[in-house]
Amino acid sequence: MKVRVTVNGTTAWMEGQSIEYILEQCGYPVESVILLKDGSVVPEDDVSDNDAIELLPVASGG
Amino acid sequence: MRCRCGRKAVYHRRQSGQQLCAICFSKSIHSKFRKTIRAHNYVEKGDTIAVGLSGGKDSTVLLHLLSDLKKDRPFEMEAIIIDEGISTYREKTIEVAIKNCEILGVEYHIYSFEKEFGVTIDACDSRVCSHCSFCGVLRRNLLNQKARELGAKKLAVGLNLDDEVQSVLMNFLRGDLFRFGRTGPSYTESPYFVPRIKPLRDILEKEVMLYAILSKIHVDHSVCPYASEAFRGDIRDFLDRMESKRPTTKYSLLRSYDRLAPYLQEQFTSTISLCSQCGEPTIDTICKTCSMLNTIKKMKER
Repeated sequence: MKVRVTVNGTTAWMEGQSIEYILEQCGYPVESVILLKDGSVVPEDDVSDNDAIELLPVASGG
Repeated sequence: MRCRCGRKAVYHRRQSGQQLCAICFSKSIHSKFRKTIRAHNYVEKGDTIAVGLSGGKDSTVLLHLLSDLKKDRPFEMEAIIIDEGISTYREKTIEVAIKNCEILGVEYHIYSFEKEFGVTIDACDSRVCSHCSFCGVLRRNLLNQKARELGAKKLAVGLNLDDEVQSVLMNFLRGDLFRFGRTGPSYTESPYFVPRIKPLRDILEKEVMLYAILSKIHVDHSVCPYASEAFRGDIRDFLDRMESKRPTTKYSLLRSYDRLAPYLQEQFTSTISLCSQCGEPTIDTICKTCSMLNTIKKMKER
């Protein structure tokens, strides 16, 4: 699958066999990030080929 | 994917295999929060609870959940906001904290490291210790002191499941068995320590953040500029990778620890006295806060 990923203001096309693999390639294991598609929160299973998603890293604060 | 209620799912809870819509997800967070409160008898009728509030997602969500709980049981609540002196970061989060207190009608008190201790985290010399260790020691000291002065019976902190298991592993890897035994759901050491309660300790950090987003709670998502220095970050990465490969790793670690905690607390006890310099509780002659401040003072004088 191929997905357009935006994280911290940077966008790139990423490719991999699954969304979990793509997230891992971006440096975010699936449990460390929330996914937005068209501005709404979606589960990882709802991401399909050629989707544009935004990653919200869970880690914040101190 | 659909939630079992038929609505569109927004979250896949991999630990249980559930697909949840926004409404069912929020209900599940309220239910987990109240279960933890009941399990540890965290909130009793007539309690005055001081909430350590930073404006970040965890403490802000805690404030909202406690506010909701207050509708059903009578207790008093006040917020303590600490300004550690971290420029370009803390000003923003304090603004968010105040806004949430105003929305919920919660009285708040702001205390700063600069006014109370004469130092800021920005001015802290990292040769003395890391910014995070320094900040943690001073913040715990000030939260306890101010909660006690406000007459609070409990001090609520926004530590979530991830924070708890990170602390368990960190203390174990450091070989700090005394502190290892004090990470449990509750710990009563001395009347000078206001008992700390952790109502979010059974909720994953990811779920706290998702709850804030779905409930449209205004929180600050920025990362402390000193966070990358922390050992905690390495442990966090390791646990996130483990949880992604084997969901429930974090829960299992917390449950195992909670079963061990009573034995650890029995084995690793110490006598609490009062610091000869500031009068705050400590296991040594001088508390860690005074010890750190003394070192900083000496280094400045050189």
